[in-house]
Formats: sequence, C-alpha cells, structure tokens
Amino acid sequence: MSKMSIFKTIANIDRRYYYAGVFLLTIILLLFPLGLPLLISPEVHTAYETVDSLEPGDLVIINFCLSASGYAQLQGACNSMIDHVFQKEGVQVIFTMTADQAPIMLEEIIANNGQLMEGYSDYPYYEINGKQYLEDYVNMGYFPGIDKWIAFLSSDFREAIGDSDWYGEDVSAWFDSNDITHAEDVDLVISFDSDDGAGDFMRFFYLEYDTPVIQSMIGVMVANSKVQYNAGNYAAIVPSIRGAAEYQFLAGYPGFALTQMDAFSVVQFFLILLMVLGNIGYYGYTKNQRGTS
Amino acid sequence: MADLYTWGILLLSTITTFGLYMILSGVDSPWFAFAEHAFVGTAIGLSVVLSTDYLLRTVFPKILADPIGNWPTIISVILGFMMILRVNKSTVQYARLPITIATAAGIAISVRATIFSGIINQIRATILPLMGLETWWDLVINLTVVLSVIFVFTYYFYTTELKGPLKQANMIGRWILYLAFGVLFAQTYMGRLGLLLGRLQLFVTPYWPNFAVTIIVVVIMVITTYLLHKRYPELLEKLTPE
Repeated sequence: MSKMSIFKTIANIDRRYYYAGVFLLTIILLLFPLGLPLLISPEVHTAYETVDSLEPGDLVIINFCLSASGYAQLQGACNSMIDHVFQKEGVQVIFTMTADQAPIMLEEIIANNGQLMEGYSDYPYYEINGKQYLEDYVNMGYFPGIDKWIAFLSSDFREAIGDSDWYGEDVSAWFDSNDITHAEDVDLVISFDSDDGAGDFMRFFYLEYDTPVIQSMIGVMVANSKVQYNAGNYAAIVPSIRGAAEYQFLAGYPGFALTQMDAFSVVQFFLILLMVLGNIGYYGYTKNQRGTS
Repeated sequence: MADLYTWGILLLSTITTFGLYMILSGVDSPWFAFAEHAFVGTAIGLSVVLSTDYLLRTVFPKILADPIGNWPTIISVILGFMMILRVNKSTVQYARLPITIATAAGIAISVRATIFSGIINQIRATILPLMGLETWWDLVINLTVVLSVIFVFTYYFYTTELKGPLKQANMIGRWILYLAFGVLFAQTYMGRLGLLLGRLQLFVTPYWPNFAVTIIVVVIMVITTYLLHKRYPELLEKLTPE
C-alpha cells in the first residue's frame, strides 16, 4: 500500500466506526471501571463548603430548571447535593421548578434519597435524612415564565410562591411559622439547570440581596457558567457529570457519577486520538496530492 | 423480580434511546421515527397539561376571588390566549402583540441586572492584580487573563491599519479566539458525552434485567431495520414519514 493510500484511508474512515467505538468503550468502562484518580476543582470544593456551612434556621431554595434531556447529566449532582443539604440540621428547604418536565424528576430524586413518612403512602410525604415534609421542606412545584417569575419572586416573595404546594395543599402556615416573608430571607439558592434558572436567580437574588447562588448545569452550559463564576456572580458551580463526581467524592455519596468518570476520561482520550489521526490523514493526503499535481 | 411497570419503563426507554441513536447509522429506521415523534408529542403534551393545570390551580381561582383587584392577571390571561391566534393566517398579526409584550417585559426586567452581571462584573473580573500574589501560579493565571483580554481586543480593531506590533497582537488575539472556540466545542462534546453516559448507565446496571434486555432489544431493532431495508422497502417508507 502506497503512502498516499494510507493517508487517504485514514482520512476517509467511515464515521460510523467512530460512533461504534465510542459506544463500545463507554459500555465496557461502565461495566468495568478503572478507578482513575479524580482531581477536585476549586469551584466544586466551594460548592461543597457553601452547603456544608449552612446553619440551623437557614433557608435554601432548590430550583429545578431541568428537562428530561439533561436529567441524565445532572442526576448525580441532584442526588448528592440534595442529600447533603438535607443532612444539615435545622435547614429549611423550598423546592421550586421552572421547567415543565422537572416535577417528575424531582419526585424521583426525593424517592431515591428518602422514604415515605410513617402513615403516608404517596408523595409528597417523604422523609429525607430525618427531615419531614411540611416540617422542614415544601415542594411548591412548577412555575411558568422562568425569568419573569423569578423577578416576581424577588420583589413579592409570598405572592409569587403562592399558598398551595404542588399537590394542592395549603402550606401558608409553614411559611408563617418559619417567618418566611421576603426574598431576603433566602440564604442560599441551588439551581439544577438545563436552562438558565440560576442566571435569573443570580440577577434577582444575588445582585439584589447578596444571596449566594450555586448552579449545577449540563455540559453545554459550562463555558458560560464558568465565566459567571469567575466574575463572582455565582458562589460556586457544579458542572455536569464531572462536577457531580467531584461532589459525590467530597460528600462520600455512593453514586454513579464517580464510576462514569472513567468512561468519560477514556472516551475523551479516544476522541483526541481520532482527531489526531484524522488530521494526519487529511494533511498527509492533501500534501501528497499537491505534490503529485 | 422487576414488576410490570419497571419492565415497561425499561423496554420503552431502551427502544426510544437506541431508536434515536439509530440516526448515527445514516439509514432510515422506523424505530428512530417512532422515538422522534413520541418524544416531541409527549413533551408538548406534558407542557400543555402542566400549563393548563397551573392556570386552573393558581390563576383562575385568584381571578374569581377578586376580579377587579386582579385585572392585570386577567389581561395576562387574555394575552396568553391570543398566542393561539397564530394557528390562523388571517389572525396571525394579533398573536404578535403578546409575544412583543412578553419579550419587552423580559428585557425590561433583566436589563438593569444584566448591566451588573454581564458588563460591570465581567470587566471587573478581567482587571486582576499582577503583584503581591501568593503563588507564582496565581501570577500565571492573572497574566494569562489580562494579556488574553488585551490581545483579543486588538482583533476587533477594524478602523485602523494593522501593522507592526498591532498586527502581531491581532494575530495572537485570533489564536486566543480559536482556543476559546475550541474550548466551547470541547464543552459541547463533553455535554453530549455526559448525556450518552447517563443514558447508558441505566442500561448496563444491573446486568439483569437491564443489560440483558438492552442487548436483546437492540439486536431486534437492528435486525428489523435491516430486514425492512432489504426485503420490505415500501413498508419502511410508510413507517418512516418525513
């Protein structure tokens, strides 16, 4: 085989072989993880520290701006971060959702981390790490209009959040008994995003009241979120599966994100190898073609 | 032993996930057509149901309790329903009104905050100290940020002739932009890979029933697609509408 035909072959490998390679590598590494070392990034460390420093009486909004297509990436972060928040004694939690598919995912996360309260057989009565529904947390459900609703929540908290939870139960007494009246009462916002929910919380809560905002986002949003984090707009970020794995490691949470990191790293190297091969083939082939012409 | 519901979910998720990934094979597949239409249909259906539920639970009771006091909500609901007028060509212009108001309101409420989050804080983040830093690595980071900002700025000089050091800086700025776009592409790839990982995790653990069922279902999907292509192309055409 001539030098030129080797380059031509490399440059013209059917892309379906690449896809098959990625699929196979991913499945093999998910089945047999290697246990590669994991470096904890400062932004995830800050996220962990921020949650860990919550004190009794603090109020946390956990917002789901998450669609089904991004759930697979954020499931690990949702599980480990919510579990961590619910470990903190005396912390009150309000769940909100700014994406219409989010209620289904939140219920799955709650069921995954908790168990049904005694005497109850269905949602929302779940106990998570000893915290009970309507005692320590409420699920206010889905609110349409992301940015407009968050702006409304910032200016008139009780009116925007309403009196009924996602299940139609009147929860105004819970807000009254915990003296939650204004947006300033919120001590931390955590948003799991496949759309920019945290961005709006940052604009209307952090910039208005200095409320720290942590964003856990899908991979395609990481670059923009990192810029916001570097500018100090977000208190911390937990990026995609990578961030989830780091958080699970810090929190000692037994989740899938850690095992997924091996496949993640190896497949990335595989892609780099393909890019190098493709470029060698392309440049070798075009250079030889120029030479012969 | 998994119950009927779990089996149903497992089968449906395997068929839809691998059906959608069949697009990578470059051949028409009825499984892809099914998954594509089912996804769009259920997503829109869910959205309609939840939005209607929201109106029935929160907006309408509020209006009925105090119609005069809640006149802005009534106007909002009317504007919302006006969006439906898009379905008819003769009334499409009326649907532009609520869209205009919603867009304008969105910009109006966010513009003040965006000045701080998108401009002032971003500029502040690039003005970094180069002296009195704790470690040499901090100096490397800060110097990289400062120099990158300056070089990229020079790339956007359009009104002056580029020569001498300005031309060199412009070229470096262009390479920094290449790097930045490369990072963006890599992040996008990582995001997609993350989605693949998340999905596949569901299918490989536990071995039984998930992994075994996935293998069986995928083999059936591949064989049926192959048979349709080779033996029944007319039926394939019917099953894969554009």
